Amino acid sequence: VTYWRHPRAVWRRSPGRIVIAGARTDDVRVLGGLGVLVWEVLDRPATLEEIGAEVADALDVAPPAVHDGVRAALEELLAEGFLRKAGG
Amino acid sequence: MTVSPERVVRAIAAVGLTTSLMELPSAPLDPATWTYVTSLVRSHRVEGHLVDAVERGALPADEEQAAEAADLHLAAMVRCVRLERALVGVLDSLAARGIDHRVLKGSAWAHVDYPDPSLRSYGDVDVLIRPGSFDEALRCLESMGHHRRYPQPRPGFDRRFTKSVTMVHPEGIEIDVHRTVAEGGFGARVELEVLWESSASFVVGGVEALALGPDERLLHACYHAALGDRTPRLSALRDIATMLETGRFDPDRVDELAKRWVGRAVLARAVELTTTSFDLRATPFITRATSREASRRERRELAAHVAPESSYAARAWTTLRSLRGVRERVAYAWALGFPAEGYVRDRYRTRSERLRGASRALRQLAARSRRSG
Repeated sequence: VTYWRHPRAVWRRSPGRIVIAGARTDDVRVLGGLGVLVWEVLDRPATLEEIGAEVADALDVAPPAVHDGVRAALEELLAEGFLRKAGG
Repeated sequence: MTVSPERVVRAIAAVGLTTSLMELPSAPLDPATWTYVTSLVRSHRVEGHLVDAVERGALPADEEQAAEAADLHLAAMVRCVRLERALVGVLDSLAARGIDHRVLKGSAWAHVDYPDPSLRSYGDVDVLIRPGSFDEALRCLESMGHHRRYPQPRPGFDRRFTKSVTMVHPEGIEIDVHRTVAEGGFGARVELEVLWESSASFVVGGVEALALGPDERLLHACYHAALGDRTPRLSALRDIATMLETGRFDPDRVDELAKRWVGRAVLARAVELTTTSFDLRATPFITRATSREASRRERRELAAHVAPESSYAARAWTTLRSLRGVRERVAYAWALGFPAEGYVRDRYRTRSERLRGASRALRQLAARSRRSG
């Protein structure tokens, strides 16, 4: 499965956070922690494994340590309409 | 050593400018100065430059100050994202009706002129519309739930004479629909067709947006800073400094357009304010722009915008004098002298306010008429 940022998402960086409004709603969401890393990694389409590897690298931990967290972040971002996915 | 909060906030707004000689304090600010500086940062809309200064280590900040700077910036970015969401909706709707646009000011400059749009915060959305599509663009926004803040003085006034119309959404977001880029005579002399000759594109929310071309963008930034607020925001001056430094514009064409629009005094004032505020090293363009002597007419028109006694009536008078042809002048004077009832009612709610407003406008117009002989 490949994930990418929803092209209709409007967003801005703020220190340690991402401010984002999606395609489905005008509500604004503030991402922090893992959500920020996942969003930054998705400057190009990537699979769960690729995202996990980059996030783990940024946090200087082994990929399995972040796998569940990254998957949960992706599901949440997808549910809120900030991401798209294809395949799988 | 005493630190001037005003100077500190100017130095913050100048962070990243390689031609600025401003220096930031070498130690964290004391709590009282910090509080004052952050209030200035908010009012000048330079939250992005504050966090940039802290992140670069250019402005020493303790943990609490760094967190406060981040929170200030976050609030500004939440506002900008909301505005940009609204902008995307507006651009979609305009495109569906085949109406051309140019995005102006904050949103456009943030995307086109800054390395990261998060550096530039702003408080509303501005779009330029061709005069021929102006009424349709307003109807388009009305169909999206926006309403005019004020009615026009007379039917057809907007598409012929107005600088911009503010459309307000029930959620509080304001869209300024512009016909031209400045009020008064300076705005009336801007060649509108020139504003549409070139563009710079950027993508927002998956939509291709168009900003003005680089020369017109710099001139608009100068008109906005020099003629907008009596004391311009540092964000407006930083826009000019950024454009001067990136040098995407053609200096000769900018000068030529300013000359044709009888706006060299505006260019000079804006560049002067910018170089003084940020202590910029002079460049050939800066020297050329600031060394021209303004004509008497330009000085008088500038005063209508920036002098303490400046007023809407004074600017209206400069507009009247800049309109081409008797018919245009008569239509303009008629619309303002004898506006529709709704226009007066919405501006002046009570009878005594209406009478006071009318007598003030009459006194100002009479005084100007006497002075100009």
